[in-house]
Amino acid sequence: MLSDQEILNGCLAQDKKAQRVLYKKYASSMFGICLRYCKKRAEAEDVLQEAFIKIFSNIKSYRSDGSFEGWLKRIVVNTALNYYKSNLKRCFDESIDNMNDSNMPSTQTFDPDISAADLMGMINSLADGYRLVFNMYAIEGYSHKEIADMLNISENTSKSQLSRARVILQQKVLEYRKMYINS
Amino acid sequence: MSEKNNIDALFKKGLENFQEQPSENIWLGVEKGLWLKKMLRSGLGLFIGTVVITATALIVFMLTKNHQQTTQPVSATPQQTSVTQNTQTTNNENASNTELSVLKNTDKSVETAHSEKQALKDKPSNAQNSPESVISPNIKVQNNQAAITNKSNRTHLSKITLKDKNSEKEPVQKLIQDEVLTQAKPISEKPKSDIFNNPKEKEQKIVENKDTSIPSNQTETAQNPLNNAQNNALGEAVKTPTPQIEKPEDIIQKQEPQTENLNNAAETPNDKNISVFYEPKVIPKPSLMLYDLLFYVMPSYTGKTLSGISQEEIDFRKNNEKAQVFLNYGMEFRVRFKNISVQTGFIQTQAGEKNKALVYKCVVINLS
Repeated sequence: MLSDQEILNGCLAQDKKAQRVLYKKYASSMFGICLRYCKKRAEAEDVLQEAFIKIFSNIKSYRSDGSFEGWLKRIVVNTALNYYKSNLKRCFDESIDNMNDSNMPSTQTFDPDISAADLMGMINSLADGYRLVFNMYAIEGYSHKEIADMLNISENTSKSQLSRARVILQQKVLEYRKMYINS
Repeated sequence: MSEKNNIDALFKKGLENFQEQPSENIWLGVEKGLWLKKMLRSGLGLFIGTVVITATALIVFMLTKNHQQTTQPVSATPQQTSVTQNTQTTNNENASNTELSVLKNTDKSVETAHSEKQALKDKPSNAQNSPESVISPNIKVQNNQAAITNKSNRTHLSKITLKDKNSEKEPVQKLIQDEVLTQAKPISEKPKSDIFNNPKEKEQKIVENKDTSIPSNQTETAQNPLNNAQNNALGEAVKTPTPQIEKPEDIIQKQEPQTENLNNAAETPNDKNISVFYEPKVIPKPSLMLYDLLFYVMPSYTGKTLSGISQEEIDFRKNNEKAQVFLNYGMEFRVRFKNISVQTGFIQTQAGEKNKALVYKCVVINLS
């Protein structure tokens, strides 16, 4: 088993074997990210392919000061965002309601046993704008400022989109729990 | 707040490490995309290189062509100058014939001049009415020279040549020249009766012309006969007032000497040297530069592997038990100028089943 550094050196030398190893090592996790950002599997595959071409083409620009996996994730997320960029404007044009905390469901403790596939299904049911902002903020850990810069929107838009996404997801989780309890 | 965190935490925990295996086609797509990108980069470089080479070849060719044009002698001798002028005024054949006739008929013209002089003396009234109808073509040629000599009496070029040729017959020629000059001049400038009715004046004129010293600018005139003759002819044309009543034939006959005078004036300094007037043949040069655009398809055969399979062979082909024919194809652009041929282009070659290569080719051949 090759280490990351060996793989990286091989990829820097345009070695196809090293590239193949790198792809095999990170393809599944990166594909998971793509699936979170894309509604359809085919779109996720396109994003993954484009992301890996970018990775191999720009691998010289990687600096060893940070995590290599983090660098890969960032490229995949950016590729996914670029994929949706043409539609992003329309996504965020929706009227922004001031979401109050009162709109949130009453105090609930969420069952941690919800499967990843179900959670993924819930996220994919969100509109593009909500999904992207929720993914970036809640899962990837970007700040609203970063999200605003990356998506070319205001911070307030990012915040409102996140609030809406949370409300919708909470409702979906409750529905799921009711179904789970009833069954 | 805790609810928000709860839902964020729920999704983060559940999806942070979410993995799913993508289909195998994605890796093939990645390989293809990388190859295309590589080709685009190298192709762009090759395209730029091809453009640079072609542009350089063209520039070299143009410079060489210009250099050849500048180094070619344009008109070194007066004969050639006269040829170029003849093409502008009259055609070459007429001009050369005229000059030959001048040379051949120099003596004849003098003899003819005697008879013509007699005719003029005998029939001054006829000459008065239509003086040009009396003069024969030979004399007309001579008249052209004489006209330039006397019209532009300042140059005295024809006098010098006439002196050289026929110093003994000069007085007679002068007489004819003066007569022709008078005919060439507009009616308003000098009355015809002065010429034809007063032979004494003619003799006086001859004496005057003999005595007239050659002007100081004669050497200049000899050096630049063409310019002076042109200037004089043009000057006369400007100075000459339009006669009030002129016959169409007169106008034509007056215009003819002006164009012919230029030719004769250009020839005057070298009249003695001209033995045969030759007309340079213009041989069309073959085009120096040739272009070719070549397309070709070339088959290549890869046989079965007889020995064991090495890693290189595995990389080279998928199935070593199978013999295959591959096609190499390409396009080349060939520029040939003078003895140098530059051939450049791209060839798509396939080495084995796996390896394809786009090859750039540039060959410079010295054909000499």
